[in-house]
This record gives sequence, C-alpha cells and structure tokens, in this order.
Amino acid sequence: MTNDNWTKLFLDLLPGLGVSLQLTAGLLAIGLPLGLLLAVGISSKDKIVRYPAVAVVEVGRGVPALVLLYLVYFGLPQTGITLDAMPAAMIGLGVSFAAYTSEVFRAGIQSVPQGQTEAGKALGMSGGVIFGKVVMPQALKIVVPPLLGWAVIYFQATSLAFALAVPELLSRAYVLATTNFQYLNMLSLAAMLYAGVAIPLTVLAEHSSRRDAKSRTA
Amino acid sequence: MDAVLPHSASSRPQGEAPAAYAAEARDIVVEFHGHKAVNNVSLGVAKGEVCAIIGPSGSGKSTLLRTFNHLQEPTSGQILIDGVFSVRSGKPTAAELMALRRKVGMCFQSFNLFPHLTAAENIMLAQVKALGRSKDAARDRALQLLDRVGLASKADVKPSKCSGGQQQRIAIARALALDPEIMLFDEPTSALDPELGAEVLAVMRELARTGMTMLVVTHEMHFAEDVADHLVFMADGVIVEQGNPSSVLRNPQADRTRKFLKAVTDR
Repeated sequence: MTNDNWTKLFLDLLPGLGVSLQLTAGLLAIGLPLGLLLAVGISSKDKIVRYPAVAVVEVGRGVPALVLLYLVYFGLPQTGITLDAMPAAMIGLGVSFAAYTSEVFRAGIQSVPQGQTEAGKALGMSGGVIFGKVVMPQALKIVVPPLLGWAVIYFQATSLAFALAVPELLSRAYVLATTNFQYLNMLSLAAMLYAGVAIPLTVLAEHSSRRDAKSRTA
Repeated sequence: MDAVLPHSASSRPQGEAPAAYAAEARDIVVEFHGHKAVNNVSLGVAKGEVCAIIGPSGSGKSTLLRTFNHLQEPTSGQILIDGVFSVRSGKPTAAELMALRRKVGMCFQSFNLFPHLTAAENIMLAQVKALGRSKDAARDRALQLLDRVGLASKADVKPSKCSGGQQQRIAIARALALDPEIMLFDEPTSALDPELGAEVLAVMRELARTGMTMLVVTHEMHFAEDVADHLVFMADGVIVEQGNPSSVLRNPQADRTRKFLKAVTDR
C-alpha cells in the first residue's frame, strides 16, 4: 500500500477519533461530579444518604460497562425514557466511571488530616466553607493523577459505544474495513490512534503522581 | 484521690468582688467508651487572666481545653463565655457553634495551618468566610498581625517554607484575626525544639501582656510560672491541685502533683 493510501485511511478515521473524544468529554462531565457526589454520600454518617450511594457504587462497579450501556439504550425506552445513542453511551459510561472514581475521591478527601477540619471549625467557618476552601483543594491535588489514569481507561472504554452504533473510532474503522476489506490495516490504525492518545496521558499521570509524592515529602 | 477543688480565683486578691469569668467550664464530663477522660471538672478563667493547665499525658487536660470551643462535645456540663451559656442544652446547632468559635480562638500542637494557602491567605480565610470582612480589610489585618508576630516578610510564603516556630506564630495570628475574647492553646510548643518554642512563647508573653485572656495546656514549666496567673494541675480526669503558679510548682500539696513535678524537674 502506498503512503498516499495510508494517509487517506488515517484521515478517514479522524472523525471517529473526534467522536471518541466527545464521548470521553461527555462521560467525564457526568462521571466526575457524580463520583464526587457519591464519595460524599458513602462517607456520610446519615444512613438515608449513605445506603443509596453505596448501592449505586456497588452496582456501577459490579455490572459490566457494556451491560450498563445496553440498559440505558435498550432498557430505558421501556420505561418511557428514550435516548439517542450518544447521550446513552455518555450516561452509561459516566455512571460506571463515577462508581469507580468515587473511591478515588473518598480516599483523597480522607487523606486530608483531621486537624485541617478542626482548624477550620475552630475558626468559626461553616462545614460547606471548610469542605470547599480547606479540604477539597488539598484532596484535588491527590486525586488528579489517579483520575487522569481512570480517564485514559474510560477513553478506551468508549469503544464499547460501538455496540450502540455510535460512529466512534472503532466503529468507523470497522465500517471502513467492511468496504475496503483492509481489516488488519484499519484496526491497526485505530489501535495506534487509541494508543497515541492514551500513552502520553498515562505518562503524564505517572509523572504528576511522582511529582505530587515528592512535593508532599519535601 | 484528692477532691476536686472548686472554681479558680485563688490567684486573685482576697476580698475583690468575683468578676464574671471570661470563660468558665461547669461540671464538665467527657466520656469515651465508658471511660471518663474528664470527670466533673469546673474551671473559670477571669478576664485578662492567663491560666495554665499542666499534667501527665492522658490526664484529660487537652480534652478539657477542647470543650471550651466545643471541638470536643462534653458528655455533660456547660461552657459559659462571658457569663453566657455558649450553647443551649442538648445538641448544639451549627450556628451556635460558629458563633462560639468566633469568640474563642485556638492554637493546636500541630499548628494545622492550611498548606495550600500562603501565610496571609491562612489569616484572611476565616475573616472573609466567617466574619464577612472584605478581602482588602482582611489582608490589611493579616499583614498587621504578621508584623506583630514578627513575620511580615512571610506574608506571601506557603507554610511549608516556614519553620515550625514560624508556623505556630502564623497560627496564632490566624486565630487573633477574628478578635477573639479568649485564646486556647493546646500544647503550642510541644512539636518544637526549645529554640523555636522560645519564639512562640515570646509571642504568647506579649499577648498576655496586652491583656488577652488565655487558657494554655503546656509542659513549659518556666512559662507557666512566669506568665500564668493561675496554674491547674490535672491527673486522671480531675483537677488535683490549683492556685498561684509559684506556690503550686514550688510547694505542691498533693502527692500526685509532687510525683509529677519531681519527674519534670529530675530530667
């Protein structure tokens, strides 16, 4: 195959990569706030708050992401909620992402020493201000590197949206291959594109977690 | 076991009308899993008085101190600030606790500065968020207080770049920024080497001289004797002995006090 052909195939795949990145952005927009909310929920002393949060986390982690996608896309319409493939994939993957990252958020919040909260209380600040201005800024520093790692995993997991016929990277590669019969080339190119996004981000996550560990011992 | 003595005041001249205490603990009991860490203790601190609490580890002195701003909720008993009950009986509301803590400043053994904020920002945060001061007014006050504790040059530096002694002085400035009526100190020099501890004690002396009411849990016997007006010795959750610092330290009456002071002076 000539270089020109490779370039053409590569360019043909790019819109698929764009959709994959959109899916990632959407699932993060849902999953990050939900993950934080679940972390606060599972740390709550109030059973009415804690039990539902624990239930969502356990279901989210216990059920395969593909099953969640099917439930949202094919299951929900029977309850009267019909979603397009794209939002359905974002919601299904976002819930799964939130369930896993709630533990990251919880650990980050808990790693902030109790003395910080006590100092905030002793200064007459409200619980909300202490959480927002004292605890969260310190917890965020700790959770960003592992969250970046999870974001990379879920960027790869967007390939599951193939099953809902979302025209993301894998689905685009497959559809093109069915017309030009270059399965090996198309799928290899798709794999390279996934890796091309994932590897630099993974390196960045590891680098920032090392730097973070260093700055905390210094 | 010696009986729990009544309220303090023995340090004040006889015959003077008993002024209302700036802060008073009445019949405080703190129970942890059936163990009484503080067992029915009453203690009053007069306005402008410096009261030092000494005693062995586990004697309940820090626990008692922490009930004054309800960081430690007492199992029973009341805290009065300026003769007024700080919280109604039963579970205190968040608003009551916040109002109480704006009047009662506190410094911790481990400083507990906010590591993500600069020295000035540490001192500004509660001024803005708890008192509603403007950022400019809060910063002016922060700089003025940093100057007072000798750290004007550290205003825009993070706590991690400051020595332990400097951090504790910033923490004192942070508590003073709310213009508290009384300051609580929980072993403020215990995490510091003697030299750095001395800087902190110098700031506390200056604070005492300006008439701040202070309640200090400490192992610094010199400080207790020089600066405190009243000394309390606690052991096993009760006040064993209290009175004029020099007389308690030099002429202790109770066996338990003698044993503790001997251990301190024999080192």
